[in-house]
Amino acid sequence: MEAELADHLARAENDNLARGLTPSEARRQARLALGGEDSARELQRDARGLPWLSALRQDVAYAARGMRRNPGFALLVVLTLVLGMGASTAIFSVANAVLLRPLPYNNPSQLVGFSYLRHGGATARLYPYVSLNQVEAWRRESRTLDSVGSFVFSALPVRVANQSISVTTVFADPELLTTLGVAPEVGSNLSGTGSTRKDSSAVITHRLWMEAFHGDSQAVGRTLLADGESYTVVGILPARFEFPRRDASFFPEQPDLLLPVANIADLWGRQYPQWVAVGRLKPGVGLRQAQADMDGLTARLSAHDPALKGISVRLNGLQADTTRKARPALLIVLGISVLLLLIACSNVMNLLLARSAARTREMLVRTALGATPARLVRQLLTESACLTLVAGGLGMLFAGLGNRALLRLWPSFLPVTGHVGLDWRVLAFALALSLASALATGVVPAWQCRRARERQPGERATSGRSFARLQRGLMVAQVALGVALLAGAGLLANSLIRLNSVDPEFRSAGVLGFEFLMPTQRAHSPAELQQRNDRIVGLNETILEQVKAIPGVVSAGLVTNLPPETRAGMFMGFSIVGQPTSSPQSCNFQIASEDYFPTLAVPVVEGRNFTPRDNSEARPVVMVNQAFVREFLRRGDALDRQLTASFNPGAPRQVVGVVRDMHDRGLGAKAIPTVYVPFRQFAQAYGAVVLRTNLPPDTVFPAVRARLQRSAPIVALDHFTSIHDRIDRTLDEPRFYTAMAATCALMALLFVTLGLYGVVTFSVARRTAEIGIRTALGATMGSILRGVLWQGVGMALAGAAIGLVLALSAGQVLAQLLFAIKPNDPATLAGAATLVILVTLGASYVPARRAARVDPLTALRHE
Amino acid sequence: MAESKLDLLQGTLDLMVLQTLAALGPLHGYGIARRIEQASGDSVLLNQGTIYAALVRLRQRGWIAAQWGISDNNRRARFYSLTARGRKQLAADASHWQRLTAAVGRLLALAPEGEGR
Repeated sequence: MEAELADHLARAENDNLARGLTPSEARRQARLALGGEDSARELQRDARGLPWLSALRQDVAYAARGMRRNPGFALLVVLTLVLGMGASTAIFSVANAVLLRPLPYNNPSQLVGFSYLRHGGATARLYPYVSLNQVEAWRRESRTLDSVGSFVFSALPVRVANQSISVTTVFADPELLTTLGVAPEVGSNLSGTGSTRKDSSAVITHRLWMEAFHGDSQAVGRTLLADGESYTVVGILPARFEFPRRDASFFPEQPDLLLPVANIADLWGRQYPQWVAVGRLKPGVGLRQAQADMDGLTARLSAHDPALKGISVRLNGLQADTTRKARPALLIVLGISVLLLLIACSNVMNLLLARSAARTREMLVRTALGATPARLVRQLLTESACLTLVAGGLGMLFAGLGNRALLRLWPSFLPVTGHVGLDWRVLAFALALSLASALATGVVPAWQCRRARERQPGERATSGRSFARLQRGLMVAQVALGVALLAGAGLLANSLIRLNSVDPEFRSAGVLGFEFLMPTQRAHSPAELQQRNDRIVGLNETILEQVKAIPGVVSAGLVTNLPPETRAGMFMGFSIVGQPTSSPQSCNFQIASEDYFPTLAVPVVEGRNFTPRDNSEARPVVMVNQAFVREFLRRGDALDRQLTASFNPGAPRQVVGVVRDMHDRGLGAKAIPTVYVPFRQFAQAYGAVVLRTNLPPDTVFPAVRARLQRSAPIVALDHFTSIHDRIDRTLDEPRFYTAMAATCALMALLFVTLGLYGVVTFSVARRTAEIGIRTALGATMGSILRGVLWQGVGMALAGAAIGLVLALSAGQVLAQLLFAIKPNDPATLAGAATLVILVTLGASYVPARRAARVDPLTALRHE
Repeated sequence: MAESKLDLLQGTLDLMVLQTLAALGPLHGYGIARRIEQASGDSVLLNQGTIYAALVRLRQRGWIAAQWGISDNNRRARFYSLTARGRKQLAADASHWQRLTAAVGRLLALAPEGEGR
């Protein structure tokens, strides 16, 4: 551009010289004609820049100046938006990880899970299991399935490098990994195909490779003993791999070992539906088509296999299956976060309405100076966009912090697959929120300002009647939401308190526990079986002895599951001698040693406890709990009754004692009928030990480990914990919900307070003149105060009424989460409503006082 | 010099630039300015600096194109030329302008009764 102007001047000069002017005059005339270089440059520059960009720059600068002049307002808006957007983004990113993130397998949308449905029963239930025979049949005959893999979870004692550890294991066919589309990152998959040929290959996870083999680069090819059998490591899975968790609530930890299912298929029964299957649909095949194919296939197969009669197999998308349990909880969480965001936005709208009403004069001046309405609207929208984008940026920071906090509190019952961070979808959501907020908050005040332009000069500059109505409506809505949230939080908190105060009916103070697991050998004859059982019982006894011998351990007992146990129980079928029933009965089943009940201070209410004499040579005996007596023994007299257990139908067992019920299934759960068998009369290769001691766990547990490593090295120990912690963990879920609801309710209250403060302030400002006149005419401070307060209270009452209705209808959703309290508990609801009304009174008080203090002269001068 | 020079409105300057380029072919900024002054018989008050703003505007709209070249006095100069779109725009603008002036002229010719004696 410089060159161009220079050239222009040069030419003009030349022409002037040619006309006969002196050189200096020529130059001067040239410059005059150009109209001044600077102005030419400026004109050019102005025309050059994209006009809307320069206007934008102007708007942003203006907005920044405005914010600097009114920092309180800007801060309030930004704070509200940061809290709203940050909280909802943090919540969304975790919910994202659970609900929306795809499964970590190849093309997961083509993966399906199988369940079977038994017709003709009283209730049709879907069981997520299939039989291995079915899986083989599908592989042969299905037209729509590309491949099917089957697996089952288990826990095995694994011996590696002289260490016995308990490892959650998956028995699967090699097709599992190929169906999922995952290959080991080192080595290869299990060898062979299908589930018929036994094999000694094993695949380990990255984690097991690190922990047990210490990342040994020669790990492939090494051997390990799993459940007493020797396996060779053939492959190592990639670090982020996870097994599908279709019904693995019994095994909360991710499996670390993959073994061939053929090794246990016959032992466990390949015809029983106890295996989990995962299939991959052929490309281009949809779920409905595959289901139709499966129905036809099942019909054909049931002609040959009577076990399949009356059974239908259902296919579900694997992703949907996995998250089904989490969905209601997550939708609640998402709903709350969206709610919070709405409250935040409506609050900001209020604040902007209040401010824009006060700026009508400014708008008029600008209009008089030549601004078009579009320009004003654009400027206001830019302002709101600036505020929201700044808030959005800060909100991301806040969300990052909130994310970390949320993860620390995240309960274990909600599956979180993989790494939970703020990923691009969260960013997109937050950005969309920002922009939506900008539009939502910018539109109304901008639109209102257009009307301001049409006002005649001399007319009152502030006539915000419609502002006020909109604001009041928003406030009532906010109060309603706040009351509903607070009521919900109150119910959950109440429920949690009641749950916490339930007496577990067994002692937890000073009681520690751990689980053990030992390899089971295959027995091929009754003699071998007896030997094996004797060995197992012997090891059990050794474990008990060693633990009791630790100085400081007051008593110790054996049991199958440490209390409280919330996973699906160990169920055994039984029948009571002399009391035949038409349908099979089953109940909870535990082994126990003679010290188990005394260690937990659970009294025997009838009959006697076990003694060391109740061994394999003595008469088979059992103890039952009161729940069992109530449910199954029609006659009140439980002792001397006999029952036969399904695992040994030949030998009836005598009931010798009744123990008091415990809350061993969780504080909120009733005791279920349970049968206890002396551990010497039932060889169980796994179990748990409870021990009472005054010593801290850090002293006792190492002693336990050291002693058992010496005297029973093949036993794997696991899950060292205190009973108190176990009880506490059952409260994780209700604690999580309560914390979430309480946080949201508090935030909602905060928003309501801020919003109401803004609304009342605005309303007072609008009516300054009126108040001034009234004071001048003799109204007392008190009456003015009451008048303004009443306005706030009016909104609060209306909002509270609507909020209570909301809370009552939402109560149904909460009902399943509540313990010992009904969703329409009047005390809680009344408390919530009262609290909100008090808060709103407080929020209205300050501006009300300011109103009452208005000096009539200044008020009238405002006009 | 009796009449004062007429103030030039933005849109008409654009039209004059386009017309100049159509008549004289590719030209540099100074040339365009001089030509407009001459053609209007020096009756137009032209702040030559506004030419450059107009040239930028016209380039943004795609009606003219610019190219650096060596001018006749061996200096580097920017030459502007009309694009096809610019030619179309010129035709449209010119016809609009003529219709406008004709209409205004007819209106002004309606001399009111009892005046201009």
